[in-house]
Amino acid sequence: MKLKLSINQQFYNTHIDGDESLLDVLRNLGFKSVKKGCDTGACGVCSILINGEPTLSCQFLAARAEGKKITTVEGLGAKADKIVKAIINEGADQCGYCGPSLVLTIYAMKKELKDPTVDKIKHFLAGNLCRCSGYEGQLRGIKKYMGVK
Amino acid sequence: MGSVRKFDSKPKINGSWKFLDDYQSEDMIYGNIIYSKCHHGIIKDIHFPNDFNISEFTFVYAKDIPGENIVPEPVSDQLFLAVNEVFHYGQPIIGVAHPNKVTLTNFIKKIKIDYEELPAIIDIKECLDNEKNHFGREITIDHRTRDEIQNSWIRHHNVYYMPHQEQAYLEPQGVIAEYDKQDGIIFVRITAQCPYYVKSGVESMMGSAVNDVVIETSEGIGGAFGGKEDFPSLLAGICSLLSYKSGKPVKIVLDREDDIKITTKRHPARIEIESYTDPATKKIEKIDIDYRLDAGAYQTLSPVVLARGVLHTAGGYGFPDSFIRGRLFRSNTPPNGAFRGFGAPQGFAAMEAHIDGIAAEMDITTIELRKANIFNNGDEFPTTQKVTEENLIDCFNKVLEISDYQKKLKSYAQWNKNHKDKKGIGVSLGFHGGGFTGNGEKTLNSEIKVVLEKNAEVKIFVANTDMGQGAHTTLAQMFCEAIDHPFEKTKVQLPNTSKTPNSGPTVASRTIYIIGNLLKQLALELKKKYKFDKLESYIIEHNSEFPLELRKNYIQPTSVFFDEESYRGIAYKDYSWAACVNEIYFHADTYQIELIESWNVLDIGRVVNEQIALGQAEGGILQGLAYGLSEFFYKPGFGRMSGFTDYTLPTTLDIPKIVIEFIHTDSVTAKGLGEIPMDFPAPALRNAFLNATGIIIDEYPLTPEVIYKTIKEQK
Amino acid sequence: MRFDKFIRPDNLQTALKYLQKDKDAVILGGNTFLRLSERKYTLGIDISNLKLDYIKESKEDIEIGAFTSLRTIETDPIINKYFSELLPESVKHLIGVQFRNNATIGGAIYSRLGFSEINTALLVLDCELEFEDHGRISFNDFISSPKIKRDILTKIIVKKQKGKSTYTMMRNANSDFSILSVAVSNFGYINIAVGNRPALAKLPEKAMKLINSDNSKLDETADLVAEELSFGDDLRAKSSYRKLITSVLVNRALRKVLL
Ligand SMILES: Cc1cc2nc3c(=O)[nH]c(=O)nc-3n(C[C@H](O)[C@H](O)[C@H](O)COP(=O)(O)OP(=O)(O)OC[C@H]3O[C@@H](n4cnc5c(N)ncnc54)[C@H](O)[C@@H]3O)c2cc1C
Repeated sequence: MKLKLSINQQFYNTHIDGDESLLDVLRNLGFKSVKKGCDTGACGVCSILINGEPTLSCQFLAARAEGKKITTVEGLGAKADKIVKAIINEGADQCGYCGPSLVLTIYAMKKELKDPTVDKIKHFLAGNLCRCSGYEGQLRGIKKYMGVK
Repeated sequence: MGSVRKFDSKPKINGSWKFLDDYQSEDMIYGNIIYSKCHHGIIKDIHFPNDFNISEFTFVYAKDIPGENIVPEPVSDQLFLAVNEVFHYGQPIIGVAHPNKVTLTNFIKKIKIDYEELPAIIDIKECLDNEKNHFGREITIDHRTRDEIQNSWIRHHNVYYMPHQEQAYLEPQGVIAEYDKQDGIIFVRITAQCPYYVKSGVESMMGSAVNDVVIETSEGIGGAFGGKEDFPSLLAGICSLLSYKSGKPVKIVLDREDDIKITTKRHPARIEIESYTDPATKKIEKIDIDYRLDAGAYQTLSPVVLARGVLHTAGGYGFPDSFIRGRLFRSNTPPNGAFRGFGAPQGFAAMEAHIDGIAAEMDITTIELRKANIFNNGDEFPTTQKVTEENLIDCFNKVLEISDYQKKLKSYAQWNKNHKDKKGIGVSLGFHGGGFTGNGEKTLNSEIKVVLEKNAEVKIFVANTDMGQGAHTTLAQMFCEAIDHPFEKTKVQLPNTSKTPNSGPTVASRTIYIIGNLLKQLALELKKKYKFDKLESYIIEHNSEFPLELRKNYIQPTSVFFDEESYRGIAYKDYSWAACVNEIYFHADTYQIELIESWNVLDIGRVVNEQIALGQAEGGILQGLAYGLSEFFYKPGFGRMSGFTDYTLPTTLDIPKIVIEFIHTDSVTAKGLGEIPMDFPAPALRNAFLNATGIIIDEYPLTPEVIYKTIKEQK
Repeated sequence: MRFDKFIRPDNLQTALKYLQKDKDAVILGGNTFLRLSERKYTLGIDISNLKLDYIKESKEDIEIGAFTSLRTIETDPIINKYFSELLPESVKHLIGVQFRNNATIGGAIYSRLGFSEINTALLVLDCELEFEDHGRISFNDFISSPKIKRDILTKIIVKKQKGKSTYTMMRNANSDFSILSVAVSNFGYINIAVGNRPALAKLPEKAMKLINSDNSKLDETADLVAEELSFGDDLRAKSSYRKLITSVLVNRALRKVLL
């Protein structure tokens, strides 16, 4: 079926199968920052923003995405700079596979958490698995970025 | 320079760094493996679904292999593709490819294979408890010095079981193979730790059918932890054959489910320890260790894991009399393989638990017992290698100090008297030998290449991969720091077997320790030879001499000799050391252990890059803690797991406070760091539980259910 | 899960017509669970355009549209005002925010999963479901007998009640399924539900009778729940362990609503 998607504030016309996941469609369109880790909704590396909400793109049907605002890390541009800096200042990135999805989730978290605490931050990020870092370095950077001790 | 920023940080986070699945080309087709769903059996019939156009698919069977149907390994006994009989679930039988990935997936799902089922062993204890299942490699370290066992000595005897552990790198295994018919060259791009292993894998598969094989890694390697050490050779072999037969570039990326089901895991282990301790001196006078690994259906690299295992399992203690016997056991499961630690985590999980067991039996503190036995200068490993430092003692003392161990021990004992829930604190020690075991580094004879460009750019060519551990940044840093060259003007090239010499695999905590130090030496030699103050200015002044290519091989010092027969001599030239204190809170009503804090002191020699080192330690320690607390892959009656929905990794909500301190950082040598953080944290947790409750558990992980079972059985 | 054709009707009648016309048609909720199945359908009916994503408060009830995400259940002020210890608690450990933004309450209820935690929580409320074809049915009836087929759940109606309700569970790791879930409410009458046994959540009748006859019989009730219900083995826990922690968790939950 034909589909018109709004990705990072640009429109893309594409052909898809009705049952295709947004993850596959985005990757086919060249948005390679969106990664496939488990394809079952358990790891978080395919996270994107849909109308600003962090969402697993492996579960989200592409056909349903019409009319929605999709954001990938490519689309955050300069808005991600501070987050990226917060993470790399701590040297917290390792293999990088979970990096883009983490940045997007932090971006959404910053908007949503009005009075952030360490517990709230950990809770918000529980769906972003990382096998390399033990989360410690990431959290050091994120706490600074969120202004939490 | 302490914490030079990783050169690949930014592109990784902003998504522009390319991982394997991000490479695409016009005529690329998709491949996959059709593997056995039977644990052991004879293949009777293969039924393909008839609602597909079979002519669109490319198939490769064992009979199509132009080279040898053997995956090169330390022991080459695993087939690329099964012939008639399958020996484990997940054994590849057919390689298949199709232009459309969805069609391919649907097709594979509908394939049915009939087997004549044969007896199979998949249960860990069934495999390891039965001596009859021993096969392949056996190693003994016989350092028995006494015949008599004195009557006053206290015997302690126990059997410890360690589970599988899944590497769970977030990027699944993947490979792209491209056969160039004109030149007869296979080009393979792969997410792997050891490009030259992959090269020999593909060469074995293709034999004389091709003129050359070139392996290049993807820009990003999304985690590996040992899991991308040897399995990639198998995958690349099959993918190459598919490309050869189809004439098209073929990409295989495993689904997570397949990845978890069919790739290597940490070896489950059964370790039996018998010890005799002199109550007067608290010295453990005699120790006998039976170290068994479940290798899976083939030996593959298990003998090497076994070697490291037996060389570490006696722990950081100077035993005057020791006997260690290591053996591989066969089961009908996929071959187990490399995972950070490589046999050492299993060894320490048993030994460190045993030490606390002895202390409990003798009613002395575990600290006293450790202090009486810990490696002193002049002590010997079971291999007779002399211990020449007391850095382990330093780690131990430091960790007791920063965790406030003694005070907590007392106050928790008091607290526990009046509470049903319990607080506990436990200790463990660990070490890790840097580089290949024994004469391995000599055999490897690693070569590095450096090119100095006219614009004073330094290009480093090594086969070692950066899989997230920051190796390429640290390697560049070591060269630069040695001669004060700007880091920005140094670049490590993407490993490619036609460009980067064979500097050996990215394993065994050897990359910084062997290759980094080699680069440093090369830089210093350069400076000495050309007598420059700054390389940059020298290159400007003598521009016509550049570009200049330099090569250097690693020469193992002649003082390092290891007898592979008797297992005596110097197994590793340098050891990293560590000590850990874990604190837990035990919820008595639900049998849950809550991890409160973990203190870790490590001696890894010189710390080249503080942030990277810290990241390695934190990540490894969490893997180690999860090994002790929650991760398992097989459960009797329920079988093996099949995805991330079953195999659960720690999340941000599962982490305790982790404190890390590096000591002896002013030493000259940067020693191994990659693996040691994984080696030792699990037993400190188990010992903390023992301290809290007085209950001995000899099985990992300590899930609530295991604790419940143990307590119920003891009642 | 796969399907050949995708449609997104803009009214319930059309959606229902498609669903009932074709036995291989399927309602697409958040697609979190559905997509893991191996089944192939002819038609996928998207319900995202049916305006079923809302939470409304009336004088007596709270109405939750079936397409409301579990993340909304977790954060919504109305839900939090009445059942903060119960409903948000029952969903907040499900994988992560990104997952809960997809998963819907309708999907959780309709699939009647044994491991669904929100179903345990809903059992202790006075709760009705409204289906497009079948009309209203109590939540309890729906969960205990699968007589409704090929229908669309449109909303969940929860009676506002004065009193306390609480949810507690046990899991091996935070991203894992839970091993056991317990919900207890006390709106004059005490309800106890136990889920993830691993079978579907259930109300232990005898135990409820006991505690309602004598509020001080906390320990006895907690033990009775464990005796009364049946438990199964799975990868995550054996029945014996489940049984044991049932009384522990029920005890804790009862204390919260009674003391
Ligand atoms: C990896 C994973 C982990 C999970 N962990 C947990 C956990 O820890 N705790 C827990 O409680 N649950 C857990 N779940 C279950 C989760 O709650 C459900 O997957 C989710 O709630 C289903 O909602 P959905 O909207 O995605 O439904 P879908 O997957 O879209 O649909 C499920 C079924 O309901 C039908 N359906 C959906 N909406 C309607 C409707 N309005 N009317 C009629 N039929 C409908 C569909 O046709 C389908 O048959 C987990 C699931 C997964 C996949």
